[in-house]
Amino acid sequence: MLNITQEDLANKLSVTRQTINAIENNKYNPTLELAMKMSKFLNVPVETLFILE
Amino acid sequence: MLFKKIPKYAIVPTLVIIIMQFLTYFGTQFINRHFNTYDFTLNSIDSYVPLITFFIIFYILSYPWWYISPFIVAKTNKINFYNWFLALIICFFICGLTFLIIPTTITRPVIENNNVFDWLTNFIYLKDNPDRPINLFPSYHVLFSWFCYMGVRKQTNIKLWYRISALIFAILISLSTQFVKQHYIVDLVSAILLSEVIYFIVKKYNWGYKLMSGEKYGYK
Repeated sequence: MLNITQEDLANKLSVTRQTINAIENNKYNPTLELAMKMSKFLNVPVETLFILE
Repeated sequence: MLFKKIPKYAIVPTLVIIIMQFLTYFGTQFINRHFNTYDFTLNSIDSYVPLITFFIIFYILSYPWWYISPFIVAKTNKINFYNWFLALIICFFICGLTFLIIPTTITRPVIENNNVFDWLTNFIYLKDNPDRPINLFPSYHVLFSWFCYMGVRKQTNIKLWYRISALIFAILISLSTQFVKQHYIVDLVSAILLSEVIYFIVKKYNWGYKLMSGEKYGYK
C-alpha cells in the first residue's frame, strides 16, 4: 500500500484534491496528461489505473 | 442608432479591463497552483441544479458582450463610464485577492457528446483547467456580465430595448454558470453582491470620475 493522502497526491500532480477524489469515485475522466502523470508517479502502467468501459 | 459613433475614449479603459481580467484570472493560477483548494458546494441547493448544456450558448456569448459593453457604457456619459470602469477594476482586484486567499474548486460532471451543446460544454471544460478547475469564487462570468447590465441601468440615453435585453442577458449568463456546472450558487450570489456594493460606493463618492477625468471636484 502507498501511504499517501489524496491531498499529497493532488499536490504532487498539481491538481485539486477534489479531482483525485472524483477520479477515484469514477465521477471524472482525467485528461491524458494527468493519467500519464499518475501512472508515472505511481510507477504502474496506465492500463492498471484505468480501464476502457 | 446604438453603434453609430464609437466613443474612442473607451478604447484604453477596455484594454486595461482585458489586461486586469487576464492577470487576475490566469495570473493568479500560477501562484495558487499548489495551494489547497476549498469546495463551496451547498449540497442542499447545488445538487438540485440540473445540468442543461444548452445554456453553454449564453456562457460563450458573454465573451464578446464583455468587450463590446465598455463602448456602450461609454455612450451614457463620462461620469457614469469612469465610475463604472473604476468599480470594475476594483472588483477584479478583490476577486484576484480572493482567488489567492481562498481558491475554490468544483467537481464537474462527465458529459457524453450527444449534441452540439454537450460538445461545446466539454470544449469549455477542456480549455478551462480540466484537471484543476479553480478561481470560481466569486464568479468572473457573473461579475462582468452584471457590470455590463449595471453600466446601462437607469441610463435613459441608452435605448430601453437594450437596457431590458442587457438585464435578461445578464440573468441568462448567470444562470448558465449554474446549468453548465461551471460555478456553485455561492459564486453567483457573491459576484452580484460584490459588483452592486462596489459600484454603489464608487458612484456615491464619484471616485472614478474624480480620478480619471482630471477634474478635481467632478460634476458637482
